[in-house]
Amino acid sequence: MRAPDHRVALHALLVLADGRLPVGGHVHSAGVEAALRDGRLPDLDALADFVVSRLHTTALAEAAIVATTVCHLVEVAGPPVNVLGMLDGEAGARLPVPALRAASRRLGRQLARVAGRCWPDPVLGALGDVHPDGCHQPVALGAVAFVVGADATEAAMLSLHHSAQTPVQAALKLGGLDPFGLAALVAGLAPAIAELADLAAHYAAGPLADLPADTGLIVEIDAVAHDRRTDCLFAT
Amino acid sequence: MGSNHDHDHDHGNGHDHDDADRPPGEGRALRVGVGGPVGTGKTELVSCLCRALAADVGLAVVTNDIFTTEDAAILQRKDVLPAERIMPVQTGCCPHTAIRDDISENLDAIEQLERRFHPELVILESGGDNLTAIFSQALVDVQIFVIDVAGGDKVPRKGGPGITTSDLLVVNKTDLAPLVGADLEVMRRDADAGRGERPTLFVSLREDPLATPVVAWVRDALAAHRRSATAA
Ligand SMILES: Nc1nc2c(ncn2[C@@H]2O[C@H](COP(=O)(O)OP(=O)(O)OP(=O)(O)O)[C@@H](O)[C@H]2O)c(=O)[nH]1
Ligand SMILES: [Mg+2]
Repeated sequence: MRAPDHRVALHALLVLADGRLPVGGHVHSAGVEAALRDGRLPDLDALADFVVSRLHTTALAEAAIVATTVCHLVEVAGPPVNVLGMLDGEAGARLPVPALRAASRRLGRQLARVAGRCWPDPVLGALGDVHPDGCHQPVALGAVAFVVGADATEAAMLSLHHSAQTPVQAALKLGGLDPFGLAALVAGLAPAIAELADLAAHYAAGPLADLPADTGLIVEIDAVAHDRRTDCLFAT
Repeated sequence: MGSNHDHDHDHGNGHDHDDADRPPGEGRALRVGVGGPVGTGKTELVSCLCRALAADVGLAVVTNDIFTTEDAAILQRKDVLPAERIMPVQTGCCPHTAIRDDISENLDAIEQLERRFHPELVILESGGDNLTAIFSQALVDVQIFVIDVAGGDKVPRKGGPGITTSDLLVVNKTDLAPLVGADLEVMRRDADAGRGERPTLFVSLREDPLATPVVAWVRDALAAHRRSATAA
């Protein structure tokens, strides 16, 4: 059921953007743990570069899936599981690293768990039917955004916001970086996030095959190595 | 995530997702949390429990270590339980978050263990943390908080939710009391003052590797859990 009053949707978006929502995200560093270990994130400037390149690559690809999920659910007439399954395939095709694919399903499942309690809706129930391990996270996030009444651009912004905050919060904990500097870094991303959210919504209106598939190669190679280690604080 | 070898398929069935969300006492395993500060003997206690109970109770263990597999590796070396029944989870620098604020990873681990082994008892060891760290009620049915004598006899007086509200407080390493000049009577008095009716047990797992009184307490909790399951 779509929320009739947009302030209600806005409140749901605030809840979803809040790092205190128990969605399992706190155990992920988005590659920051590996990069720090490798000495590639010595300071705030290096982290800012890392985050910006993430936003323009994997984060945009994910945000485009999120936005597309919202658009397709708005249009779908029958049961949502088919459209969710199709988008799930698109999301998985953009995740070549098995560990990241597994993490994406895990995060999608964990989001569906909490969202199902917050905003019970058959669309969220259908997420569990897409794949036994859970739906990929961007599809799950798009479905939740749809259920709470957000539009495609807002959903993409939410996704991009988390894509920025995940590495930043991990760097705070692992590198002891200045928390005020990190807050300013995230706040300063507003123009980039706004522009990328528009781009994601633009992709959402086009054919699925044209959805962006940009990745960060070093981050992917790191993710494979990270997964093989047994001394990690973060899952990814 | 190196420890989760089967993570490309770590789930059996989409319809079972809510298993671990079920409230206590509805036919699922009893979940016992073991928390407490770093190095107080949590892993030692978990291995004692496994050793004492594995023969007649279906068991599984989830460890939450600072570094993923340290506690799980210790338990595996001690050979108290088949390795596949011990599952480590990552905590992203925040062991208390993983057992209290965002329990998603632990719930996932429990779901997997319950699906594979249908244990009667799941023990969760938290990462060594501070005195304020407690388990969420949505994650465990009962919790044991382990402190030790080596931290000084002031610890029970300091309080915190682990010490005052846990279902069982274990004060371990009583063998070290003379060495660190800790007064066990002071510890007893302060613990009782903060805990009211809740029990406190003094042990030395070094001298009593069967953790006899703690095992008896867990058996009682298990019996109560069985009763509530049949009543439900
Ligand atoms: N003297 C003495 N040492 C003990 C006793 N119980 C445990 N230890 C030792 O204390 C050390 C820490 O025990 P662990 O069981 O690893 O403690 P832990 O609480 O799991 O530690 P973390 O998981 O790192 O927080 C080990 O070297 C144990 O052998 C005891 O009763 N007496
Ligand atoms: Mg331990």
